Amino acid sequence: MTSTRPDDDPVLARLAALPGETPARDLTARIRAASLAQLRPRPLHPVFTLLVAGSALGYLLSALRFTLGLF
Amino acid sequence: MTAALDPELISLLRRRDPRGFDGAYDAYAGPVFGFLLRLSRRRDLAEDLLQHVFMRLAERGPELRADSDLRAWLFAVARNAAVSQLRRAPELAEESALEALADPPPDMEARLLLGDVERALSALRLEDREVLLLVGVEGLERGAVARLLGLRPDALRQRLARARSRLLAELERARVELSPRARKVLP
Repeated sequence: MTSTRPDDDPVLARLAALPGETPARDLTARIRAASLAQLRPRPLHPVFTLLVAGSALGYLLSALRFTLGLF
Repeated sequence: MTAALDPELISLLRRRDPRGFDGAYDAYAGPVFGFLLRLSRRRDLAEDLLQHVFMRLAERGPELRADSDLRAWLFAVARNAAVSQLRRAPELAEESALEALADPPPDMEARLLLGDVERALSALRLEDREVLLLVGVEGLERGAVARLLGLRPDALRQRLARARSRLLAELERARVELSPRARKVLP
């Protein structure tokens, strides 16, 4: 049976000995900058803000109308 | 292994703390880039895919589960993106990308051996290459590799054994073409 554990398999051991790789500095800088912008919480779109404010106002007005209707 | 750092990095990523991203990049960008370079055999594609992987981390990092295996997650994103690209476009081996892999060791024979392994790997089919890279080069746990490739453990064992045999056949072919001096240092 073929062993496939790196510590006792010469083929996997040779693969494990392959040298590592480092991305170029400018690529790293580009990725870090783009990702940092992605991580920053984005402000809400003005239309979305207006929709939320409008629906809250609508709810308050309907509640007021309902309350006034009681008297 | 850097996996011990994962819970801390994930905790930072979940809070959108840039230190989590920086830590993950420092720990895993090299291995993921090496994997992508050997899998795609094209430096330009490997660079684009590396950017895709870490952009995805910045986007999805806050949604990671606290007990996620960050390393396996990154390799899964990298592998899926690479395979999807390579299946869409014909594979083109770019010799210069392979030769530029890291600084060769000073010893001539060792350099020759490493060169042979790189060449033998690059001659394999994509599905053989990916399993050898994930298990042999990156040393990912078998369970994680099986999940990543969507295989049952016994299917992974079979695929690994097949890929290993094909790699040996490629190395054997290279040995025949080597000079007698270099042949002596091969196992």
